[in-house]
Amino acid sequence: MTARLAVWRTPKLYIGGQFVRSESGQTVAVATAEGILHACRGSRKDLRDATEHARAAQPKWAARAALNRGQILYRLGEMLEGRGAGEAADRAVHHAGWADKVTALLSTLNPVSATYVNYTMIRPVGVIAAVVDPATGMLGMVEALAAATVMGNSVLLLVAAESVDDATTLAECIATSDWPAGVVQIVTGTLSELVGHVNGLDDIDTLLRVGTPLDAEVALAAEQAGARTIRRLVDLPNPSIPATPEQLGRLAEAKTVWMSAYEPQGGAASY
Amino acid sequence: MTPPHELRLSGALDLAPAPERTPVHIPPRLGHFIDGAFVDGSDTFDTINPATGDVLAKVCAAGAEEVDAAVRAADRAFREVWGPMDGAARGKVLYRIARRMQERSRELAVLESMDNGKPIRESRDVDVPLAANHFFYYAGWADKLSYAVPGRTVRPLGVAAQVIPWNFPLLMMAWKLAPALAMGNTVVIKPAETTPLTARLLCEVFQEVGLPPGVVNVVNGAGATGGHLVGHPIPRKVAFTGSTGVGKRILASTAGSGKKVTLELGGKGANIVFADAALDQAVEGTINGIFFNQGHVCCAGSRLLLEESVAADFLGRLQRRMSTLRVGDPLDKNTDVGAINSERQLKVIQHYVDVGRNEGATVWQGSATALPKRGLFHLPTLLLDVDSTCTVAREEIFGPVLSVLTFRTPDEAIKKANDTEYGLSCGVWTEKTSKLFEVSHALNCGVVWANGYNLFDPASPFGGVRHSGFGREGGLAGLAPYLEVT
Amino acid sequence: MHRPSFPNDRPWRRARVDNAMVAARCARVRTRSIKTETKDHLLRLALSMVDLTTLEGVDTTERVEALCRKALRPLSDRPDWPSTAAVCVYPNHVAAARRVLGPVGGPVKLASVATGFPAGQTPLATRLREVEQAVADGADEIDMVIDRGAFLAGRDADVFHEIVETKAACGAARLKVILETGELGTLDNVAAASRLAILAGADFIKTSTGKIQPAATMEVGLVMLEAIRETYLATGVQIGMKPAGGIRASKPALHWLVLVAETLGSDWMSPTWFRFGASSLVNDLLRQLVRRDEGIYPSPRRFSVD
Repeated sequence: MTARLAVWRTPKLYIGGQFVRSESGQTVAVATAEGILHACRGSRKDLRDATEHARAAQPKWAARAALNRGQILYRLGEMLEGRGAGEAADRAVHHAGWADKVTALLSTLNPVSATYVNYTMIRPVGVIAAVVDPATGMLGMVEALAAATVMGNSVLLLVAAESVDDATTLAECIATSDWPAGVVQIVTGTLSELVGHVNGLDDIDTLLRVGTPLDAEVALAAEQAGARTIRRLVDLPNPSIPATPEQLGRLAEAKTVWMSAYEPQGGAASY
Repeated sequence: MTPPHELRLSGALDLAPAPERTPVHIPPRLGHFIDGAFVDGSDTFDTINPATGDVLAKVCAAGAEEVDAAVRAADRAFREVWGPMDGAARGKVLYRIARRMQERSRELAVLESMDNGKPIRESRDVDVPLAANHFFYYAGWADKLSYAVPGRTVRPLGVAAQVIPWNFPLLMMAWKLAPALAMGNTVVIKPAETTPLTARLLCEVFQEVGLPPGVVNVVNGAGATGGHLVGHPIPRKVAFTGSTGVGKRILASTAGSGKKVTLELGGKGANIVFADAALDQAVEGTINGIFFNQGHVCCAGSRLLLEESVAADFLGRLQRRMSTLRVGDPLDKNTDVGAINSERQLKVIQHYVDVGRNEGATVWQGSATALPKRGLFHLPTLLLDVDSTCTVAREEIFGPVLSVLTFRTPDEAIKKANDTEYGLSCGVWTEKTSKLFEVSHALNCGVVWANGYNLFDPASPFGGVRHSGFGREGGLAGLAPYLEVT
Repeated sequence: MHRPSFPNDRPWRRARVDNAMVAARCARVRTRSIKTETKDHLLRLALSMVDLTTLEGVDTTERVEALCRKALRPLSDRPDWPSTAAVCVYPNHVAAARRVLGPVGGPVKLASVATGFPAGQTPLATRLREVEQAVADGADEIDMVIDRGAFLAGRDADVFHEIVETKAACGAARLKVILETGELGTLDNVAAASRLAILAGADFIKTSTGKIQPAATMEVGLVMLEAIRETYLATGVQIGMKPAGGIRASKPALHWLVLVAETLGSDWMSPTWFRFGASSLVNDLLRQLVRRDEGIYPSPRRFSVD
């Protein structure tokens, strides 16, 4: 009997809810324990497509009930558990629980001196590009994904080719846990190159760095490029600890509403 | 032209001059305020009264050395005095500042109106009391920082470099200083070059109340001075309010420095009036939205979005109200619209009115008074028949000029309101509560006034999204920009 | 005489008011600073707009006569100062007032609060009879109260009908319809009742009886002026306005005039179209006028109580 030959997974990008090959037609070879894997080398065009999908999906994702978003994140935890990624599963479950609670911690009712009910709530920033330090592994990816999406954002996970195996597993878990297409895209390649592409994309609202994924020069260029669109830069330097509510709050915008309140006879009626 | 039944509003009320006469002292030459002392400088330029063209004072422009001295004084004060000081004690100093500002409020108001051109009614009733209240509000936070971020430890950042604009000189100074100081930071701040006077008076207040030397330092000057300040290696915090263009430059120049940046930039706020609004009151809100402070307001409601079915009716009401606005001497208590702060800004406004006209807009202007013979003034102006593609519907004019657009459905209103690179503020007018909430929440901006416009409060966070910047000023959210959280 | 018919769709009930911005607008009017010659002019104008009023259970013929004399010449040593617009008395005193004021057409009009003032809770027939009697005794103007209970219960047709009938009973006399805004509860109701009264034939709308607090706040005043403005712009029909109750000092009175000027314009800046229902206001106007004229601040004792 011939020993059974393994069926190789062909790594792909995950964009708009589909597993797709890079438009570049290029791959990056990665040596793994099982042999050589060929990670897609995400291109400028791939990131443009990913951004369009993310932008289109975000408002509906944010409009879903918080409970529902939490359940989808929890479902991701279940899938990750099934793939033996216990630590990442725990992280998905942790953030799943924030979905319908973090608003209560980050919103305020502001006592203004006027006949208005004044409240500050949190709104998603929109589309987040998250660049993940490969040293943080699957946990770093899930942390980025969960932190971004639990706040109602859509996300582009920019993943180093060396993490392609985990990235593929994560994409499969996403694809099987009720995520609406476009909320999460996973793009593999060379981080400095991917970030370079993102620097030319104006429709990204926040750059999220998980761990320390970029060398100083690339990081500086990314920051400078972000100035063109007043893009925000957020760091989660140590994803071994889940993002705190305060950190999650940086992936949101505070929005203040002055809601006119009824006042009998229209005021103090001083004369 | 006049319909058969039109009101005779013009000339219905001839108001005799009602000048505010509180005397103020203006030093002939303004240097800087460094380490608790007024120091002279060099490279003087003039600050003028825009209502008369008179020179109010010579002002010195700080160079790199003076900025460095100010930053070092702030750093020393942070490490030796203000940072280690008990929070309650810091709070008491801030309370004293608020109180002393109240005592000197009329002087502050007069100086502000002379230097900026805004009506005394606004500086007296809005700018100055709000500024004092801002100190009063944040004074109360100074001994409560351990509660600001539950479960975390917070620390002040150190020296904050702050650059503020000319449209609300004193108020912006208060917005910048109060939270920074309450949390134990020290400050070097640069007022706008055209409006340095109230900052100078506020420094007198600091001396009077015993604010330790170096805690607040003021350097005067224009963009170059700001560049020295923002680029100085010591400050760990940069806070800027001003134009989006300068904001982008600051963000690019601070890249890689690790400085915490907050930006409060421009806007092109949509003021949405639905057919089921209380129209006469929406008119009043629209007036507040665009003619407050001559429209020199980053969050001005400079795009009026009218539901088409009431557009003509509403515009008639708006024009009638505009024809009761009194344009003139900022120090007259009855002035509604004062002087444009600088000739440069007046030219910008006139340019945009021309652009609007060339793009097909109909220009309508109204006021109860003729424009004064001298000084920098601009009539309250409507640009009618504007659509979303017009320059005057997209770019910030920063003057008393309102671009008028129409819409037919709530969805279209939301879409048009959000059709901008900016995201600072919007207004919504309807008496239908469900729609008021729905639309208010759907607008992509940092502040929404639901049946109101241009309301401010120290307890209420203010700030924008996208090209309007990031970071919040006011309220609990206003603490975060000045804290390190661990 | 034309009697307007009741519009079944009750258009007045669609009127919408935002309370906070009404308050904001009024607050802004209160910041208007009235100085020097403007003050002289507006004080005199205000004096000429007063419906000098006495509506007490203890009113006597002597008191009413004194009131009429004061209306004709508010300050005895200043014959050149304006008389008030009118006196306003109970129906029983109309005849006595007419004797002092002289024949119809004189400088001071004669108004009477007919229609079961202040509650309006008497049968319509007796109220109409009261109106007819007051007019017959020489009243130029009738101040009627609406049935607030009916309005609040949504019986708009009843309120409308009563105004129509009262107007018919007035004949040539001008009809002021008192909304008693202090009992209407909301500014939306004030806006609706104003429009109802105008459509039913009011010549003037009036805030209050003076017996209920709050009375003539600027906030309700603005809402009523806006109803008048809407009517004029739509139809050309000019309606008068009368705040009554609570205006005791010159400063608020002058701010009322600013409100009128900036809301309705110069056509309303006359006693034909704007009145203050007041009693003690006159003395404060006189006091300020003396202050302007003589440069000293006179004691209130210089001015007669009635």
